[in-house]
Amino acid sequence: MPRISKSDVVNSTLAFITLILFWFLGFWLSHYIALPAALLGLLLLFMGLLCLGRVPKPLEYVSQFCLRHLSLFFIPPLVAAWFYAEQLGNNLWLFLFAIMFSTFISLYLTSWLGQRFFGHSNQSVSQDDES
Amino acid sequence: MTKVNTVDWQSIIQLVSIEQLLWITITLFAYGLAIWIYKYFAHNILFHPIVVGAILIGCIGVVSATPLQDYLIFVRPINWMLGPVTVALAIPLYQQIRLIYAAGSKGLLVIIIGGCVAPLLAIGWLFLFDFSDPVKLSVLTKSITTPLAVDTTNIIGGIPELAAGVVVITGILGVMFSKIIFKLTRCDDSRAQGLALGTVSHAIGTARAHQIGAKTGAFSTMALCVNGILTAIVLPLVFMLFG
Repeated sequence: MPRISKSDVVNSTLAFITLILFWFLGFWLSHYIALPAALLGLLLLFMGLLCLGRVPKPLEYVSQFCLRHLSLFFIPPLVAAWFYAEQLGNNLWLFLFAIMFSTFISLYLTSWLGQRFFGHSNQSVSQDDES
Repeated sequence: MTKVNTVDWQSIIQLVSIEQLLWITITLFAYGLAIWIYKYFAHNILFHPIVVGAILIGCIGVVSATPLQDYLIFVRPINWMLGPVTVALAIPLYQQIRLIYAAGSKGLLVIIIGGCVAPLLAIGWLFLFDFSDPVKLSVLTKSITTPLAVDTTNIIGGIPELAAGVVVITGILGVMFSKIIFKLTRCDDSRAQGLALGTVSHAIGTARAHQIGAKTGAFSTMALCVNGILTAIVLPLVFMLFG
């Protein structure tokens, strides 16, 4: 296990503050553009990275950590969804069926289409990219 | 003598209540336990940490007789963190940009078709029955990652919590179906599998794609970012123009 030094902690904190800062920028911008604040923040940071031309190591580390534990943030909304599921009553099954069959068909369609486009030309994209 | 106003620490501390700290800790604990259970069952999708975590919280809530509304107020700080975490998606998007070029217009076409078909089918089905408008609108963001879905649903007038539930269910169902569907469509190309999982099942599908392979995971991440961003841009625009 790699040792975590003091500067790592400071850098990670700064990287996280950067994320919060970009979210606030997005929030400010969302008063003028009717798009989600987080999305605007995301696009601003993306443009920032394009200008910078690389991803700073601490930012990469912090973002990987956050995205790996994204599930945590979905627990409260899922608990809350139960509250609405109860309200739907008898219609709940119709509602769930809508999600089920639309997921099935769209997954079928995308994998079929993807296989048709990419299935027989394994050379065109040869980079194995795990970054 | 000049009067000095003292800082009222008591009331500042009260802003963060004991219950808040308690329930945030419980949620973190439930999440940790859920991850452990998920690993124990060899990453079986039925034991996904979100589902197990939510069930654990539900049980603790019932046992301690805490109303759902109160719980949601207590854990609001967790929701605040979701914004900055969503911004973090910019990093994988930037890292996969070469892949977006490599996949080209064909890859984009797959993502766009998948991203349109899923919500349109779902809302079309709901129109056949007696559902209220906010409920119908809550399925439009079903294939995009929760943080973007919640914000977008808010803007177009759906129910954010319901949308979050729909997103999670879509993700899990997509992963469950993927094995059968890849067999049915004879889909064995890692790029096609990654695109399908990321487009339809967002972050949950991407986690599965990373299990299949690095290349599948990279394409899935790319599809997740592109579909999420496009949907989050297009939906509010459509509602602004025609709503």
